[in-house]
Amino acid sequence: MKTVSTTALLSLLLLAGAHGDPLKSAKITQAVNDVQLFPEGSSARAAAVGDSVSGSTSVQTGRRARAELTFTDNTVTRLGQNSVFSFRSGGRDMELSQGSILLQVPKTNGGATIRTATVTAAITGTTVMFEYSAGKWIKLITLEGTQKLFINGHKNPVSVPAGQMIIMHPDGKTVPAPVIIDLARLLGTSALAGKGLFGPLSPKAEALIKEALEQQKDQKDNGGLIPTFAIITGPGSRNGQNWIIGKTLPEPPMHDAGSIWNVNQGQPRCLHTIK
Amino acid sequence: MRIPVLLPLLLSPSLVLADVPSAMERFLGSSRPDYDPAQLEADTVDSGHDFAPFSPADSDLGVQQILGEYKGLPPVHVEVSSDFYWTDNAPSPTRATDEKSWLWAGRVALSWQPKIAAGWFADVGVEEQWFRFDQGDATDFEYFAAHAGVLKMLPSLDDLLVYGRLEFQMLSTGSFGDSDYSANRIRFGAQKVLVNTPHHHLSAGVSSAFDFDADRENLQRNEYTLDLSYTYFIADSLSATASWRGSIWDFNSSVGAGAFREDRRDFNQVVGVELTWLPCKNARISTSVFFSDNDSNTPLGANDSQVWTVGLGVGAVFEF
Repeated sequence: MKTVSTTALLSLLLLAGAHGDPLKSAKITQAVNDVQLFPEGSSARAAAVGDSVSGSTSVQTGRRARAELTFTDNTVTRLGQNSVFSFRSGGRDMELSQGSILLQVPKTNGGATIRTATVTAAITGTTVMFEYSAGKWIKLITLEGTQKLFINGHKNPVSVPAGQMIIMHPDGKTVPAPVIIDLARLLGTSALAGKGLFGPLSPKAEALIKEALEQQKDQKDNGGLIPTFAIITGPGSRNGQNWIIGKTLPEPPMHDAGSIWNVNQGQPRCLHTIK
Repeated sequence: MRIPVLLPLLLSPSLVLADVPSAMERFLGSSRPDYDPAQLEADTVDSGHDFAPFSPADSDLGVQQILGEYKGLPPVHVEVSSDFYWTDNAPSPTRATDEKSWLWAGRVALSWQPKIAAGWFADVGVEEQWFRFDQGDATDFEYFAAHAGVLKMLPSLDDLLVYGRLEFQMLSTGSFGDSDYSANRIRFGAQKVLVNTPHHHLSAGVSSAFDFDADRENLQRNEYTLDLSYTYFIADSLSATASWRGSIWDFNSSVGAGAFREDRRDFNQVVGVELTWLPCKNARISTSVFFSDNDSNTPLGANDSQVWTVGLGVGAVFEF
């Protein structure tokens, strides 16, 4: 009984800690290709940079479309293609029905939650990426700070620190342990977190991400983290995977004692004697 | 006892491989969770080549390359394989024509890579191979090799891998203790992954090796090698690899006579494709086609050779 009470209290504290001042409104600060706004009770309209979004509004991106929303408290939300995102004014809950999102919550803002149909991520002043694909995948990546992921209706959230990722099925019964991913590679190839499409995040967030990158680099430097596939695959790789244990052997030179040679079908050949 | 030159076979990909360190995959065994097949479809989980499984938002999230975590002494890696090849140029003592032959190659190898200092790993290994031919004139032989060295990853140079090691290798024909050739050398090299995505992997490697002792002495040589390897991952457990390897062997002995006498120098290449299937974590089945060519400055092309090799192999990897 005591355990149940403690767990319930911790869960309440977790959720409470993730909430500061409510999100009131946001502005569209990037809209690439087909981005639609679905205000509650109004008809859909195309989003344009500078549009204000408030109330219960859903934002939907089409194929090859991306969008960025900046809330009044400087919380930044970037949406990947084919994403459906919504928030309700007055709370700090966001809902990702489909697609991918980058969420950057300034540390002083109390945090936020990303809800999906099956899991919820609790974020307290951190930068994260989240993918939800109903019936297929959930991917959760922390770029800086720490977030917690738990299955809706369950307790015992799993912490995901910077540089780590959780991959799970949306209908999974447990949250698996996170894996470590190469942040430098991720950031270098990410449309949401990269600087090519959206530009840099806030200087503070960029500094924290850089710190996480440096920490990971230090771990690689001292051998604590090891990039996989460091060994090339080559001819006749014996295990069929990633390594070669090889050797080369010389041919004895033809002028050694006992050597003979002949020419066969235009291809001279050395026949040699080794004593 | 007359024993044939082993060049034709030694240039086949079954023996001419890159001199590179052992794999670092063994570190990863305990650091990567096995995905629960009850939660994920097993055939969509890319546990084979170190990326998170593909999902529709990967272009937005970025490439998710999983890093291994070093957690104490790694296990010893044991590889066992049995391969069947057909070659159009098997070694034989009295050969007037190309010796086409089937051959069986068996191999047992042990290797270990403990961390010895911050960022530095030891790399030690030993292996034995047996080659047996079905053609009467072809010569069966054995190969033994051992190496000990160090390697280091350089994250500041985009994960360039550098290594150095001492190597010993020995050839025998029929009896392990009856050495027909042996050499001691030191090797330095570097490897770089040029492209690494969930479906494509392109790598390059360079190495230089210097014999400081060889029996026989006239086989002593220096070696300069470039490796290129491209792998396309058709599926999680099925991959195709195309590779090329070029080496210059600079012998301490000379060829020719009189004014035309010069140091012997060979340029050999191996090019091939290999299809590999991993039916489970510890096993592989592969089929390969390789062509190798040796071009020597020996007069009249006496040390030139070309070899085709086609084969099918099975192998297993264990750790303890």
